[in-house]
Amino acid sequence: MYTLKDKLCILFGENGLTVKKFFQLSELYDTADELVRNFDCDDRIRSILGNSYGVLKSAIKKNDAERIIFDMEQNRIEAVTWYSEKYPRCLRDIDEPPYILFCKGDITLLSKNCLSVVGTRKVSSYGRRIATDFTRLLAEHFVIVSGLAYGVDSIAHETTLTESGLTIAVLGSGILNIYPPTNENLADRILKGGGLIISEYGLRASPLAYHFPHRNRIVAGLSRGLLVCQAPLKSGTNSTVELALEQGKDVFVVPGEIYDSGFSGSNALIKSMQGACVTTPRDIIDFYNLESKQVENKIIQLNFEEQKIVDVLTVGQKSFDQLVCETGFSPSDLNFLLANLELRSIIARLPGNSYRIYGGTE
Amino acid sequence: MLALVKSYGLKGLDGFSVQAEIDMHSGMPTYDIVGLADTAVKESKERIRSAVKNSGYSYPVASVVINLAPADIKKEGTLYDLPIAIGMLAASKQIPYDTLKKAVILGELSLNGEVRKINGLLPMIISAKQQGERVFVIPRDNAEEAVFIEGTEIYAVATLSEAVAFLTGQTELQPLTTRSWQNDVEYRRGDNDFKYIKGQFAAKRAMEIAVAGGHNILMVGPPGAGKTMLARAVPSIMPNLTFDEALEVAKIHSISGQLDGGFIYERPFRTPHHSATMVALTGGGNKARPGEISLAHNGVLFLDELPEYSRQTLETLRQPLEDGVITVARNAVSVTYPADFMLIASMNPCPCGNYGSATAECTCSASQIHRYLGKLSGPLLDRIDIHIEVDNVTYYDIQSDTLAEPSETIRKRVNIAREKQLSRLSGSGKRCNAQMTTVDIKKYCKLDKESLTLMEDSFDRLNLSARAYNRILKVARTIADLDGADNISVKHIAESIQYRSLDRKYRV
Repeated sequence: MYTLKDKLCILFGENGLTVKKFFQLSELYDTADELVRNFDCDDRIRSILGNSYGVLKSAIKKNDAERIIFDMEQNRIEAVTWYSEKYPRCLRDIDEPPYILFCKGDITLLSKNCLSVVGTRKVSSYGRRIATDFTRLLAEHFVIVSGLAYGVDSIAHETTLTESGLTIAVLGSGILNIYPPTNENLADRILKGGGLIISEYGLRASPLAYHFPHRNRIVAGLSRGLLVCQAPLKSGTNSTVELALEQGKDVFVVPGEIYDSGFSGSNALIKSMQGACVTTPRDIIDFYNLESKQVENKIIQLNFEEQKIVDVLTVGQKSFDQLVCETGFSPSDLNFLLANLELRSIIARLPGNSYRIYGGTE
Repeated sequence: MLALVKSYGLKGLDGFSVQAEIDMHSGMPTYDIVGLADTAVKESKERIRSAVKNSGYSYPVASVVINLAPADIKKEGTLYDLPIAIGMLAASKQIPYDTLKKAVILGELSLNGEVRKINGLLPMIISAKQQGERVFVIPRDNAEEAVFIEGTEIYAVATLSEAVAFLTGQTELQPLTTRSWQNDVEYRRGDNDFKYIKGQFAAKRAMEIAVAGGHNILMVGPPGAGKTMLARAVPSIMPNLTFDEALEVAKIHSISGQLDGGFIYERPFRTPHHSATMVALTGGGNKARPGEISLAHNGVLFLDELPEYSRQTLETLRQPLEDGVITVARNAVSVTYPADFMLIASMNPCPCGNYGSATAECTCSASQIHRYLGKLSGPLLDRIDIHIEVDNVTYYDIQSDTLAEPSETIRKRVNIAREKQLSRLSGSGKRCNAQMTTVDIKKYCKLDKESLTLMEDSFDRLNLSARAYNRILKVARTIADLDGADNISVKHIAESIQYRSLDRKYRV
């Protein structure tokens, strides 16, 4: 059940009250009851709230909180407020902590061992590979936190799901207004996979441009460390990195080619020593002294033909044509072998009908 | 005096008998045509006047009335010039009417009295023959079209006076010697042969499967990857046209005036530009002419840059893709044209074209790519069984001298696979695997346990969409047919799964 304080948080959250104003307001009175009683007559409240005063006043009058809670229950959304015991400790210490988190899914994930995987929305094939390979191993040890945007975010969520890991998506819009809309399906699958979707914005809040850099403090705040897969110089990723550094979180960066502008931000972070340079997911696992779960000593049985393909691919990514030339198999046989290898997660198919070994090169 | 001359008209693909009645009486010199004639027919007045004069006859100074019976069906085109001119000469008693041979006369006149080529000759002769006509006089330029029609006497003439001399019995003409159908298309096929396409093994294999099973195919690849070249080579691996098929194709081309004086020996390959209107594609206009999809009947319709076509245009393809015919209804006419074609479509993977390319980095944003792919509707993609990604050929491929497998060899395999399908589907009116219904799939695409497990695994792991299921089965059936196997095995399913690129949600 929600207390009166919780209900006020829900009401304020739904109406988009900023964190700063919320805390100024909360310092005025000791109890929520007093605040509500004095809402009409206290000039201090009026001056703090400014333009939004009228809206909030009528919302309180109409007892809007009940309606919102009903709406939440209909959509199986839970609210975790600043005053709740469930509020994650790690967020209490950050600058401008969200006073409300609308949550859908398993809220116990909030207090688990989390790691953020972030990067640009415009991801190159190399960045895609980094995001896939790193997330794949990290998902065994961490709850993967990301922002459900295009590019690296989506790949991080998606890969965690294929590895049956747990993941948290922090939205920059309302939970009932997923942005980008094409990721609605991904959001559903995150929930089905036991994951969590959270947002500090009202249930159907629009994805306003300033929401996204703002929610990044939650992405950084929830986790122990932050992995930057790919960042150009001007990218939202840089704001997340800054926030993570302010919060004293560990920042890991995968280096890119120095001539590739898609990685200029990543490389700058390494050069300025703001982020630790990592080249395999194991670097991060070792950093935290985590026991590597080496139970997955899957004995991979390959027949002669399959071994031949794997041998060719060990050198690097190959297109279908190159495979035909280098292995000498007929296209029909090769198709069959590739499909089999892919299903067993030994190789991965890339856009453009190219193939590579699944996972890192260790 | 009154003269009656037989001619023919065309409604869609079917002909109908037309009788040109020319009557002449003294009075003010006038010239009237009745019987729902269109402008081209009405303009015949000037052509006939000059042609008659320049052929050494005199143009009658009399009141001329011409009726094209039956008077309630629209007549169009220039083919009535010759019958009217001959009728007029008979009516003005310049040539004997009694001895005039009762032939069906078709032809346009030029001002100097030459007989010119007309459109739609072939379907008219076929209809007329079915209705018992035996003797025809046609323009010499059209003669090649009629060369396979047996059991008729067809006389090809070059000028009005030659036609008159023949019809009045002054000279003897040899009827057209008919040939028996023999598809000697081999040497006609020029550069569009698979042996000249270097590399592209995956795409070539996919094309072979597509042709063998009559599947529609979509190629996705960067500009310059050779998508068009691959598509152009497809007719060379299709089975040779049979006479009946060729006749159907020739009829449609004849109506559109695209026969170029010859006949059809090769499967048509049509590439309408993406700015083509709906009518250009499906057929129509006030005369309900056949469109590109009918001209591609029994051949290939190649839509390059598929997402550039207007959505509405593409959606109209859905029904003909399913039924193999298109009914064009206009206010005066409603015509059904055959439109049983193989659809080959190509597109770039994203607006800049480089998404997933090994050589260049894509500069599109994710939302741009989503928008681009979103232009293709699900129902349309549903009718395309095979998706294949085509990447640029490497320098290594281009400079190699070895020729790839020639189309000839591939076609032999295709023919065998097609025969297998024909015998399996015989009696159901279907010809190839692509036409199988859900019921047929249940019946002919039984999976063993191993294949079933593979199907389940792949749906789980590869994020295939549900609509992919039947497509995979159909294509697997074709692969099995090419393999000479009676049952679908795990190998066929595995390969078939590789041809669902667009369903795969690995695009983030």
